[in-house]
Amino acid sequence: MTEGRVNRSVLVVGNGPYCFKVAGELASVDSVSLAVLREARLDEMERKPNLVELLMPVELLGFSGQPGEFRAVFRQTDGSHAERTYGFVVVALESEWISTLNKWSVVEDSRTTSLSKLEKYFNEYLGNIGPGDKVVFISGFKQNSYPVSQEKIVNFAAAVREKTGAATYVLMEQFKVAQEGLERAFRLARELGVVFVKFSQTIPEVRVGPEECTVQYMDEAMGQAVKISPQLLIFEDEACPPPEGRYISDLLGINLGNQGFLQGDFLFNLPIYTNRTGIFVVGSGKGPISEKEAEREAEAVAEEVAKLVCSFDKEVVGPFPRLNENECIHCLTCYRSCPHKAISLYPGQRSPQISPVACRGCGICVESCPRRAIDFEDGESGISYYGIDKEIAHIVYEDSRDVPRIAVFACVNSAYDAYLLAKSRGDRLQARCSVLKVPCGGRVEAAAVIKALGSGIDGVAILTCHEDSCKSVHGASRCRKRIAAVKEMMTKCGVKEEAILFGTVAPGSAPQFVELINRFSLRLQGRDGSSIIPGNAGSGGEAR
Amino acid sequence: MNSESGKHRVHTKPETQASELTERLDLQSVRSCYICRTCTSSCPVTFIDPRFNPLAILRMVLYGMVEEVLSSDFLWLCTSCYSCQERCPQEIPVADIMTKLKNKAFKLGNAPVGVKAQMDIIKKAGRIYPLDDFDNKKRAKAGLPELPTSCDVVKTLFESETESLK
Repeated sequence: MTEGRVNRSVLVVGNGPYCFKVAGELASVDSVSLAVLREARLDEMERKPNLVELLMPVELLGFSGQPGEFRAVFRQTDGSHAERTYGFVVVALESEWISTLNKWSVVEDSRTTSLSKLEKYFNEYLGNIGPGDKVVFISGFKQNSYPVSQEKIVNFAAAVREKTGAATYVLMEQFKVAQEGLERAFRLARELGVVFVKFSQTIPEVRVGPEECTVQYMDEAMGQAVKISPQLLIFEDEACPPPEGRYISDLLGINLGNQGFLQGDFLFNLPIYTNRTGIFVVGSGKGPISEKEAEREAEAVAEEVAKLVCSFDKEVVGPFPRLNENECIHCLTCYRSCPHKAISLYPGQRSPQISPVACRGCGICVESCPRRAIDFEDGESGISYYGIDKEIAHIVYEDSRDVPRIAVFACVNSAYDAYLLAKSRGDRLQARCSVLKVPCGGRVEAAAVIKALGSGIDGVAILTCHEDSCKSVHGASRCRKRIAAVKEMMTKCGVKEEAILFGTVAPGSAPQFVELINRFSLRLQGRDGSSIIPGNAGSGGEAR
Repeated sequence: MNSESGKHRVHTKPETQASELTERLDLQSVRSCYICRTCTSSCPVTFIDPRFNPLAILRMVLYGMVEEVLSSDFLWLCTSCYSCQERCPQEIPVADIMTKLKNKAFKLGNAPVGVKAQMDIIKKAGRIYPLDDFDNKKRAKAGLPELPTSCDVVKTLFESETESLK
């Protein structure tokens, strides 16, 4: 693939007006196909730039391949199937706002409404409101509240107050200020006389009767109950992930977060990256964002695509796994375990192909291969089963009876950084350490751990990132499970499992690294207080 | 005096008349409050007597419950130490607001008996602790100069000041 010309076309997948905007932004850079999964309105279509090919409404049936040559299979309106090749994919699905009135057991009428309805018919709702009347906004309590909708509430509350002079109350479960200009909006609204009420223990009671509607609550700051009979009661909407999100994430092999929003909860992917190279997620499909932010993301994705095109011509740097075709038994373990879906199967090819563009060098495939048919290309192979004894030879033959000798597998994203920092700070490690740089905790082979231990050293420590911030999605958790399995096996064989330590370290946290190693060292010497012999407890207290 | 019933009573008063009062007393700065509770946690009075709570008073003003504040007895527990005002991150003149409220309450005749009695003593003697010949005798023994036992200047000042208050 690297030798041929790079396919620069982009597939934009969307479900609403926003994807038209994204496609327009990308059309200035590349040729774009826009796949709209739903019937969109005609006026949106008219805004479609000429360079964009429109597929609407379309069903995405299949998806495979690697950046530069993604293959997508569509079913079009006439029922025919079509297969196309794209260089990159941008997912521009939009989340939806739904009314929460039913959660409050309230029926919508002229006095009660949802935020989106108020937005649409602002003047109609305010027609009968004047000074002396009361307007109440309710945010949160029954659903997760987002800065975007809070900004709307604050601005509407300020507008109501300013235009009608009505007493305006905003009852909020949580204040959110993590958005541009939101704090300012709160301030302006407060100064106009909008009353904000914070809740921490109680929730307001809403009653809508035929005569009047009442909101009763405990003002926690004042310590008194307050009862308001508002002429207009507005409820915040709930953000719902795009209904197409789950299907699209399964199909494209990109992560989905807890609540069903795209991209997942992994911090390093923010704002528009996914676990797959060449597939981007923009817009509110990954959680509600402001229009301004969504616009900026549309611009950013055009730039990212251009940047990625350039990276195809560059030589691959850093460790890169190579597959030995003669050893491969086509078990597809690597294909299933790759967190970035960088391994593909092509019809006609004997073995799976590893994409040098999509591969991020975590080495999980190397570890997972039962035939050891994959190996890193450069010197990193020293940490594998074959090279481990050479790597740790210098501590194996060292005669240090006062401190234990430990081989440390340190993930380059966290623990290895921490080790380098500790070294430069001159922190004292109470152990003779051989620190091995591994690209990810998921790279550490069980066999290498056992071999290292068998070569005569006192302990092996495997230090990775925290599990929820592992750059290889499931690298750290795979490592934890594997080490637990090794320990179990050792116990069954009657070998002390205390000689192995699995720990997680925050990136570059030198004190944490030193503490883990020193505690491990004490444990190996039987001086950590956790010793089975009660008399020994506490004798190793200096490192605590 | 209705502070005892305050906890159980539900506030339902319309805001409008109260907001006039708020404006007349120039209390709009309470709108800046973002309920950080610094005033309450700095207050030495709240520490001893939780009936007085600067934040609760600010909230009551914000809700338009100014009349309730004016007729309360807890308002008079404020010692005007200015801790709240010094520490307010929103620069709300909390202690000044208390003074304004107390002045208004006094005008409405809501001041506690003790405050009125103190005022009468100052008006009469110029001091909160009146001096007599016995005190001057003791002062002479200690080598201190004699002090006047009456103070008409304060009385004059006082009258002109109470005049302006009305």
